[in-house]
Amino acid sequence: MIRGFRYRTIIAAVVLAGLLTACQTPVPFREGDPPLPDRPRAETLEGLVKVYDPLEGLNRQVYAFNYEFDRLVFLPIVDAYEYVLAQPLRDRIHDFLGNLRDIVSFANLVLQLRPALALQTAFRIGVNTGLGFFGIVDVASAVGMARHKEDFGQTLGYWGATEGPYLVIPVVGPSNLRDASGYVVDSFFLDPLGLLANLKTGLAPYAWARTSVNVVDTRANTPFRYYGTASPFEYDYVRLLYTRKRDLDLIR
Amino acid sequence: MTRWLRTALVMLKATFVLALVSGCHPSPSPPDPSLAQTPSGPFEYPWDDPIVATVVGTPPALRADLPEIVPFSNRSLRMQPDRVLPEIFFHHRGMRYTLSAQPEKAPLVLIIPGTGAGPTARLVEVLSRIFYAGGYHVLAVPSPTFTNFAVAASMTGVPGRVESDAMDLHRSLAQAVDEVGERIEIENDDISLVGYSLGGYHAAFVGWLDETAVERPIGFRRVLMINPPVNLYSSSRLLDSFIDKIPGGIDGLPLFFEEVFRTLSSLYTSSAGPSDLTGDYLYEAYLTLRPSREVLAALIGIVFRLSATDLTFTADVMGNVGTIVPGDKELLIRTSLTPHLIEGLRYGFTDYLREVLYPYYRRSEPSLTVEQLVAEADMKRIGGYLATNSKYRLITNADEIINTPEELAFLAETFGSRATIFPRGGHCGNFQHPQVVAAMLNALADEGP
Repeated sequence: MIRGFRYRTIIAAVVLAGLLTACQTPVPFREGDPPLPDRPRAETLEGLVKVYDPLEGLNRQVYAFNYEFDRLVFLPIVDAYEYVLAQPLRDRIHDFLGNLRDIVSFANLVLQLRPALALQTAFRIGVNTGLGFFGIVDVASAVGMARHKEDFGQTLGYWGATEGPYLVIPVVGPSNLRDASGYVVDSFFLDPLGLLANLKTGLAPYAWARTSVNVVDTRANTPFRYYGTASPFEYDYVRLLYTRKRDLDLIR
Repeated sequence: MTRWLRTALVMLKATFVLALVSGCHPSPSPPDPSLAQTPSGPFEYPWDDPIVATVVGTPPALRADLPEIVPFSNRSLRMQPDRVLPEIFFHHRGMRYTLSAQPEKAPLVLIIPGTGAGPTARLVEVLSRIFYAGGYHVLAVPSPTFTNFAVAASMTGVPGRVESDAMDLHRSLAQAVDEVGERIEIENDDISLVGYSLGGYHAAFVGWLDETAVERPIGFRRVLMINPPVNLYSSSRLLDSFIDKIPGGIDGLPLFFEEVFRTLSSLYTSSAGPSDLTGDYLYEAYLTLRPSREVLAALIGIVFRLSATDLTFTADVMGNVGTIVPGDKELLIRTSLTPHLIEGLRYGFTDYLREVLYPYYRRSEPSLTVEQLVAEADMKRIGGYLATNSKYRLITNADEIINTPEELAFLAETFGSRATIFPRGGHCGNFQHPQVVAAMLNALADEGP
């Protein structure tokens, strides 16, 4: 009952919007196809540097906000987390969360109708859950089973959705409309704990606890620092590289 | 089948134990005293081409064994508390610097980075690890050409004139040393200065000012210059010319970017490729792709062009010159800088000198000429001082790409037995080689000529 009807309506609308954009060009592309199919090659400096960013003014302000949030709240929490928990313990938490995250990747691979990678990921989850003490040791990576990370933004992109406007999301960072919608779907529908918490209110505290630790663990393992390059054009570079990196993630 | 399963299980168990054991010992290896030895024997370094050396660096297998983790703190120093800044520079109120402090009393090494580099640049980190392993506290400031320095520490905000830059550096170093004096114990006030690339050139002048022109000298025991340019203008021209290795020059950048990206993407998306764009990915990429000399030279050109672009924009704004940003334009956090990036990419270092640095100084010195600026930018001006001063040491390479042969001869002649010149390594491409590491430590520790 905590979220109420409104809350679910919003999420449903976002999913619907994502699926609708996906339906406009329903041509998936597969491994082996020529890379980067949607994006025309940049021919001028302007074409190279510019990314569809209609909310640029707001995005730049959120970028600055994220810098201050990092400095005053986020990184101090990460420091405290690293101070309180020794590295081996943090590694176990990291591996445990990674194993849970693999379930989301699995779900997305199923939605992309890629059985080989889906099975590989399922096997990975099985190995880590069974031999890695419910996932606290990432045995699969240790024996060379590569992790294939997928999210719903990629699934939307796989079925042809374009990225939409570039967005800088408070706390989360660089994204775009497609990936941001995907993030919501991943968190509340494809993540088992998130889904159960949605259905049964009793689990919500566990879901939130997991999410909080997840957020801190992710930040602790992300070396990126806002304005870390000191370049006056960092926003532009991050925007360009984020967009191109997501192109690559789509065709993996 | 069952045998395969059993083998797999044993392997898994072994890996599991290994993972736990290795997880329990995250501490760095102790400093290796054998590092500080005079290099001897042949120089085993694989790259004969200085362009390859400059981009690829020392292969991981040949690198000196340096501790990975250095106790390291990012710090900030308010140098100009009263300066009014455009809103876009709100995060540059303090000059950034880093400190790697030894737990006990130790001598201190100060590091000045190369063009466009800050105190957390990769090569600064490498040097910090080297000198930390050698038993020194290490403090690094930004290069005057780094946006943060120009905004937060420079008196003018328009870097490029060596006396003014060296003065700014001296003041920053002195204040930073004062500030960390409360946290670290410096053995016998023993402070040395180390600079690489443009920072090596700056170190020469900072050491000179320290003895001749400042009220409160720091008193460097040693000044080590690594791969320095001799004449800023001639090195700028050499570096600017690298952008022409892209077919079509800077206008060919988009196509070049697409090509490189496509090539890297095929590697990234292949199942054999590394799972992320980090670590030694570029080295592996080099081994797999073996890009041509032209492509590598173009990459060098792009790296330097991006820092020339930053420099042009920052100095133009800070000095209110109006070359690419109209003087009355308000630069708020929400202001798009993309148009300025697109224009700024057209500015190399020599364009910067003519169109930002020169107009800025001509305001207060109407008779100044570009030729005067070029002549000023030559280290030979203080050649007599450098030749006779025993505190200076030089390390560079015979195949250095930013020096002309004549400039290299000047360095060899000026520093004589105080110079170590390696046969190969290009521009800063052999820093992690054990013999180069030993030469660096030896340069600070030797008894003197």
